[in-house]
Amino acid sequence: MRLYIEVARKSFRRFATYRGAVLGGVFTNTIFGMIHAYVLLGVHAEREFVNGFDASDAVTFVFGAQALLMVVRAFGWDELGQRLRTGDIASDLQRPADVQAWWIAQFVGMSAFYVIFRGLPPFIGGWLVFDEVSLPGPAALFWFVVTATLAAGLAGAYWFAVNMIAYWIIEVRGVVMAFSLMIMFFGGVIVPLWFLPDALLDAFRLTPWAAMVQLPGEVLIGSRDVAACLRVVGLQLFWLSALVGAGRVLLSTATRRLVVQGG
Amino acid sequence: MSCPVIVENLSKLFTVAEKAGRVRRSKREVVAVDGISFEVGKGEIVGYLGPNGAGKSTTIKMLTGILTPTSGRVEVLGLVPVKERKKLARHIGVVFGQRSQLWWDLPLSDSFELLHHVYRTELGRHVSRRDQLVDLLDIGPQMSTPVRQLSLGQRMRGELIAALLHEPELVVLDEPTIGLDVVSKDRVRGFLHDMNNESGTTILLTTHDLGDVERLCERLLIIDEGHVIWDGALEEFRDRHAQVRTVVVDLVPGVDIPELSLARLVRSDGDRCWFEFNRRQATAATVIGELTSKVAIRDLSVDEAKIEDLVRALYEE
Amino acid sequence: MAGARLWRHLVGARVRSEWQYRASFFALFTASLLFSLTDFVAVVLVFEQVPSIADWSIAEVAFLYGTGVTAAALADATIGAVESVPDRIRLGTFDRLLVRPAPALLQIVGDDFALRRFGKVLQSAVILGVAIAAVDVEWTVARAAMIPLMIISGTSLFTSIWIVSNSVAFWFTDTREAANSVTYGGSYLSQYPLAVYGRWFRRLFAVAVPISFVNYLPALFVLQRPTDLGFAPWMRFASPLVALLALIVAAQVWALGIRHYRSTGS
Repeated sequence: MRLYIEVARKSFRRFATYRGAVLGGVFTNTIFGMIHAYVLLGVHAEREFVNGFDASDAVTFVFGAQALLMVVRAFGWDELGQRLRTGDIASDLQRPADVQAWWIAQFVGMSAFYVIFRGLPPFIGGWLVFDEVSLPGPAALFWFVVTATLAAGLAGAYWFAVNMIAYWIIEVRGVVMAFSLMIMFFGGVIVPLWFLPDALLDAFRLTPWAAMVQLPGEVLIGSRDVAACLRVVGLQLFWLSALVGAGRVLLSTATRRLVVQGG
Repeated sequence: MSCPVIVENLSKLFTVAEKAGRVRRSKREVVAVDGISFEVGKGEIVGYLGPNGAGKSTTIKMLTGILTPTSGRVEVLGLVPVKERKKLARHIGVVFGQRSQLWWDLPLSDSFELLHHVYRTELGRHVSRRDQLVDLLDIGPQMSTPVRQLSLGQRMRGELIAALLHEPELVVLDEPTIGLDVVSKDRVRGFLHDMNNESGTTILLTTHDLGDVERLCERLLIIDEGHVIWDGALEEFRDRHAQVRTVVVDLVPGVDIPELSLARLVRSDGDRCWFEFNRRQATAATVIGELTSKVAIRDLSVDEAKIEDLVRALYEE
Repeated sequence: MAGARLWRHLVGARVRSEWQYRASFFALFTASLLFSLTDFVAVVLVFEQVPSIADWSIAEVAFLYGTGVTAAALADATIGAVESVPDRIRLGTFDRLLVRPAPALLQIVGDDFALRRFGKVLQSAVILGVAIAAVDVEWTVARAAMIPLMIISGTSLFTSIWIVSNSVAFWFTDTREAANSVTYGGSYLSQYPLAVYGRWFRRLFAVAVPISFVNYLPALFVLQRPTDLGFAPWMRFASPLVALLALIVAAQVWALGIRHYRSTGS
């Protein structure tokens, strides 16, 4: 277990060296957050509550979502897929460590870096610019940290499985784009899920994508009591195990094929 | 016509930002090329050597117009590279050993066709030139293969063709044989040699592979830390710097190994002996003379000093 | 012009290559179409909740969306390849463009041309068509003619923005992300009436970066809306001129960038 913590830590440090990209990224997240926020404020100018959520909820959610975007790498992550394509994966397979755990640990280390350096600053920026952004209370913050961490692990398992699928389909880019789109839409990034009619909303809230962004975002704005937060955690754990399982199946099939056919 | 390449007092300074403390950056000036001067005559094959970081790539970039010099004069084919980059590009061919000029996922033939449009060569000439080169380098069977699927050797041959399609007067090659297997290296060297012989194309070749140098270069330009430390014929380099030569003798079986005054035995293996002599003190002829007067031999050869060792010694000076 | 011919050949080679892997091409084309469609789904969802935004109806916002996104998507499809500049510089593959007797920008744009990017254009064009049918406007020749005009100048404006934001890579590395915020951010911003944005934000990102000239100002004319937000009525017709100026500026910035690259190496 300690090995994987070390892997995560090294991954964190590796991303810390890309300083220039981080600044550019913070800028981007802030701009996009602001555009989303303004649009939602435009909506709330006409109507105080949307499905029970007010302007403050909406704007705080937007910046929380931008932070979570980076944690779950909503725009896509294909590092593993590329390694599979080039065959570099062989060196991973030779290590006396579990490949999936290794990659998920790396992912979590990366997410930790992103949430601190690319998630927090835009949120603070949003808080400074918009009066409507409300800082979370201690309870909400606690549950947010919990659900965000689980979201990172969940995203790691998610992208691991997606990259494995990409291996079979060869066109890594397209597959990643498709699965990224799902996070953007069902995760409430493009528009908070509560804008949807209730029937769809309840269904979509159960998806793994919602578990990555939408639900932790709702936790952040304090719209969920303890019982509801526990339900979120439960859902995240469910999807985490499902995706880890799927990932393992894909991994063993791919490894067998690699070993037999030589990659 | 004047020399294809004229370099006069050429210098290039880079300003490098360095981390001084936790946040501050200090600026440091790095002199990559320090007032070098040389000329390359028409039809010459010049080897441009130097340790990594000596300024080879920087010089090449200034010659091709990719990099602006800090001071000094550079003239290639009568043009100032930085000012007339596009015009110059029409008359030179460049091969970067490690970076491809070809279109990665298109078949080789498509790359050549696109280059025809890039260089705007006349179609008939392009076709005959292409066919000639493809034939010479024996790459016909690979013409419809996407470049990314070619082996390194095949790709290098493709790169060579790409650089020569438009019949340039000057060809600049940056480590063209790097990573190639022995057969491919040989092929590439042979091709370049023949091409120079037949068309009189001037060739400037940077390489770490001294096999390239031995086979191709009549002249050596050695650069170290931004200065040219040698500019002259290969033979002269060898003569000036090689002190020691070796005579390898196969003695008639059963004969005792002779003692020579002009040379010293350094190694023996069965009937074969290696004698070293200092070229200041003896010539190959006199050593062989002494040898044959003392003992019956079956066969002999004279080993040239290894350029590798000589260059290394020069770097270390 | 010789440059145009070369561009055609480069693009032709790319398209042939894309067509070879047809399945992949259609998959990516569809993905790009769907990906961009979600933006409009968001607009629809927003209007499910409110009848208008800043006093613009859904048909009017759809008009903004159709014109703005079509212009951005067309620019992306034609000049989007310029996004590869930061990567090329980083990987060292920019040099080989300079060794050829053709302008570097032309080579990049031809080399990385991707037909599948037109998926986005198709989607927004359809929405524009629907919006035109749905808006309550007294159509005159002038208003109808404004639509293709604003698309052309809008595309030119976005093209300039794309070029300038990616030229920054010549001076500063790691600028890919920041460039995205201006290009894709600008596209997103143009989908909604400018009134929703705060004053300073608007001034920085819709005027300094002339996004307001892409679709908002001409739309005021087409949709018979009053000129607001401190703009003057003549500005509604200024887009072609602004676009032309922007292209000139972009060309200069690019040339400066190449000159800087050539003096500092990589």
